[in-house]
Amino acid sequence: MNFAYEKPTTTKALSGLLEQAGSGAALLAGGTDLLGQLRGRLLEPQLVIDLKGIEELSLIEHHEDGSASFGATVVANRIIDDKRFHGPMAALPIACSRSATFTIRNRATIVGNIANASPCADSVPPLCVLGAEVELRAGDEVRRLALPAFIRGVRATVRKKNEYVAAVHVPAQAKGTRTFFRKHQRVRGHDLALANAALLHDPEGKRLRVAIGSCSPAPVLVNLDDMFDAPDAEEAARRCMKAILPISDVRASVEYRIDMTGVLVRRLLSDLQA
Amino acid sequence: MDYDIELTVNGVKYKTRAPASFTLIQLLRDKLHLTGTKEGCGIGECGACNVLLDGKLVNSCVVLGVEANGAEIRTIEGEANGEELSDLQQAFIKHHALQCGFCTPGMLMSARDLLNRTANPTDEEIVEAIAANLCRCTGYVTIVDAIREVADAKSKGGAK
Repeated sequence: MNFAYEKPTTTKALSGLLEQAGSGAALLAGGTDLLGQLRGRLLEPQLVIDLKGIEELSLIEHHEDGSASFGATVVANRIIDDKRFHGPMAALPIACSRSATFTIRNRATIVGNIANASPCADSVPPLCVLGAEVELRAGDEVRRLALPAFIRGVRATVRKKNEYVAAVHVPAQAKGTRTFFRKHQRVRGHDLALANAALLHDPEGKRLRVAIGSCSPAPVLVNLDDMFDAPDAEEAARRCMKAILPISDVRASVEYRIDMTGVLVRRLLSDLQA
Repeated sequence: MDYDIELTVNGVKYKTRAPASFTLIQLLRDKLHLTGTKEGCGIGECGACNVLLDGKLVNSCVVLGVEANGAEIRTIEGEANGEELSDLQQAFIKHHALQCGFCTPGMLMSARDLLNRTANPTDEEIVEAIAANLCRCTGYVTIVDAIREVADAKSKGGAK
């Protein structure tokens, strides 16, 4: 490991560094994932750019219309502790609290969770059903993408080398909307998901959506709006099991992940009745 | 490339220089010679290296030393006051809450963080607070007992 370290205090300075360093730069927010990659020499950047010096990126904003946004350096424990996320967006703080350990959540950011694009990222299924958008910036150029369009596959996103994720925007949810999160793991404590899933129920727009993680290269969003008036847990589970494309690895087999996805979806639908 | 790093550890100001690749635990142990903090897994899973960074519990193996520039750190060396052991240290001894002792510095920092955050924690909160500290000797029960005793004494306005 031999790299230079910069901690810019403005987004302008950050963009300048990214333009200069190109693919040789790695962005550091919480570092809980990056440090593992650096120490394992999976990543050998020339420059590590620490985002924590830029105040703008550390903000959580709740807007009057009910929408919310949070910057690149907002850590998981801040989302959990923010009561305003515990309404229609509750699946997000619940997923955060089921992710990693308290100690890690003091450092780990949600934007890092998304931008690393690990298929088992716990914050991704809730943000997918909530319709969250990722704000990418390069200098003065800004583009916003729906989360499923941002994540391309295993540890792959559409972020260009001169871009950074500035924030995540969660749109206002229709009145009465509820969201739920479920995760299946080997042990009760801190463990990666074998499968995780979130459900959104919007009575105003008659929307019923499920997003599944850890079971495909990228998150899978399943639209169940057609069964909004008469949800059928068995049929919903069948559709979700069909939509995923899991792998066998040290944590679980393909067959087990497909079965467990069915279980998670059935449980999410029973959460809805409770 | 080496960087100047200034930080306060247990109330003492330090000035040092280290490469950007140095983790916070390397900085503490190899530069400041504060070897109380232990490194277990090196990937933020075992909790042996836990310290408080600006009042927040962190795994010092997944924080860069340069990230701690200007920060206030509390480590296990800040628990005792000279020869006088802290309430938690005394309770750990009383309850035999350690055997090999490798997890103890991190375990004590997690316990200290819990007591800082929560006035009168439930048993579940105590277990939750040390859930990310792996101990292969004790079976955890005596550790929970030790923390319980200090928490109870504190909530009764007894021990410090």
